[in-house]
Amino acid sequence: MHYKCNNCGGSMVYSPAEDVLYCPHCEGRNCGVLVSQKDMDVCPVCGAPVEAGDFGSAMQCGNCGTYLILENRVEDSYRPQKIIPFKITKEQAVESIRKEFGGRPFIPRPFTDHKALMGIEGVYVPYWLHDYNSVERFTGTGQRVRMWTHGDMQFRETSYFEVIREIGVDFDNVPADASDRMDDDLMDMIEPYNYDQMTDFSPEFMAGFNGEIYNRPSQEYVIRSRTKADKAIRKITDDTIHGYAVVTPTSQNIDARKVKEQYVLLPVYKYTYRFGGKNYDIFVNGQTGKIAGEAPTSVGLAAKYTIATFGLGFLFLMFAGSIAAML
Amino acid sequence: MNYRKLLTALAVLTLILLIVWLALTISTGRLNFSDEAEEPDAGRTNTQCTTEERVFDYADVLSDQEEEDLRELIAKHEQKTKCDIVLVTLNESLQNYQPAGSYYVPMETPENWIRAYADDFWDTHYFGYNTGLEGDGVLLADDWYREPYDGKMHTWLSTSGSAYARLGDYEIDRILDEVYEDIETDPFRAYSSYVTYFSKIMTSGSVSSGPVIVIDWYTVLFPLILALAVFAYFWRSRKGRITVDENTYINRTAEGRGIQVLQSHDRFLHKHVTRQRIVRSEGGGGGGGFGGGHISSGGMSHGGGGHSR
Repeated sequence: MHYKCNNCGGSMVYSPAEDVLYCPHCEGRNCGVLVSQKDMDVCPVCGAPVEAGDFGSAMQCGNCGTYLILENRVEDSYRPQKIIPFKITKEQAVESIRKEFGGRPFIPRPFTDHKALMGIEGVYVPYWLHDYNSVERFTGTGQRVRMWTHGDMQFRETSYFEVIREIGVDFDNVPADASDRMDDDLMDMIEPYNYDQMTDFSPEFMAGFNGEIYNRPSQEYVIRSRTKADKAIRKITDDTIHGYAVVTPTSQNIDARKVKEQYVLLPVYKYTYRFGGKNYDIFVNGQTGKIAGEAPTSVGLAAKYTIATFGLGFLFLMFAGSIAAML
Repeated sequence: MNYRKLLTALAVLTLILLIVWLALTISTGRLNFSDEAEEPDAGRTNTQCTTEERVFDYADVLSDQEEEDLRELIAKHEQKTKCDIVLVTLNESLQNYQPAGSYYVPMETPENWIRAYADDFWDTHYFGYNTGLEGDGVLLADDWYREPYDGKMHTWLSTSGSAYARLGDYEIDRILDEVYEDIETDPFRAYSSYVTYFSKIMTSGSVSSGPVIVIDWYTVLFPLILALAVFAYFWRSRKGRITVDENTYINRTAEGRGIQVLQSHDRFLHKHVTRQRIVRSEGGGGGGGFGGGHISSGGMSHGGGGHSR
């Protein structure tokens, strides 16, 4: 399917700024109509073949630029339960990348070049959200130390305690990204998402962006979300133990029961830059604007700036010292 | 923070320093930039000087022949530098020395005492090539007496007029270093180098009295540390900070239960006490230094600097 503008026939897109379908050609709003098409192989507007790959659910036709949404990849078992629509525009994402990396001298200049940045991809990433009811049972020994001085003797009293904790925590919406091509660590780093803004799915939100369906079923991603939940309950339990100099665990186990799973789409901007034969990815959270990723560093620039710093510093101090000696 | 702009600012500052340095170097005549038209030599015009003598060996560290040789050497260089060059050696404590004039001068330390002595010697004899009041010239006072106050022998180089203008701390230190090279083994040689070195500096003819360039350990070390720090700071690729803490996923809605403490016990088991005798200890340290540009007890402007051994 795609959204066609009634006024000029252009391909409409979702505007994060205005929360409305927008026609970039005639600048009209809410003037579109849904044009359905079941055939996934060719573009309904120009007939060129569509490259959807195994997981693509939304993309732009390489030939005519129409934004397409593949119907059988957003329906039935592939219909997301929820979605957080893009809140940040492409321009805003580009701006935050420039602000974050612009001041760093070792990054090759073309990286923050406007033209390169405009190649940034806005994509709805498939996520599995899991709810867990977890319980941690902890037993250990805690030591408390008291020291005092009397005359010329120092005394040290060590007391031992048996520490028992049983903590129950319910976790809501623990995410695991279900797209293999998106780097898991970087996706973790652009969290958190604000799930208050999560809403029922509608294909309209996807117009103008790329999208993917979950690459594997929920079960295969449980490890990732479970690890996050376990880490969290570990910390919460630790926080309930205080006053000891040392705590030695004797037994510790976590029982986590998955009580809910949801398939949702979360907004991400991805900027890829190729340098020195390697791909560098920068991710921007499409809702909050948080940035994660590694920028390329140029050895040449690093050398130049380091030498310049030394050279200028040296000259500066040399003249300062010489002037001081002459006075 | 834009590092490129920071570097540019540093470059501008360094350029300013370069200009200041150049101005100072040229204005104090350290650079033979253009052969300055020499004023026709009017000869020695001081009419107030009370003596023709220049070598006052009260400490008797020089033989008569050496004194004679020094007088000749001094006469030759006085013509070259257009400055009076005076040498005074003494062998007595200056702790109770009373300044000759009525202007206040500090008299706290041995450096103060010998400074007052040297300046007064110059003032009271009205030394100076061109005039007897703040005239051009230099006086070296070397006391061979070990001051009980600090156990050291003190030396002072007093400058006046053109020598005051021309000799900064740097040059004075160089002259005194030259003197101290030989002072213990061959005082005649040490005092001779005082005369010749002073002359070299005043006539600005050679490399060592040329433009002042100071390069010390800090000139290399600090920029090195800075450059390495800058390199380390910008090289590490910042991957984006993780701000998800454990509470982000907790269900706090009405149906959920949030955090529940189901069980919590801290049960005392046993304790033991150890003891140790305390050992005490302690430590210590020290250091010092100074510079020139002052008024003598006679109210005259002098420069100068001192060393001790």
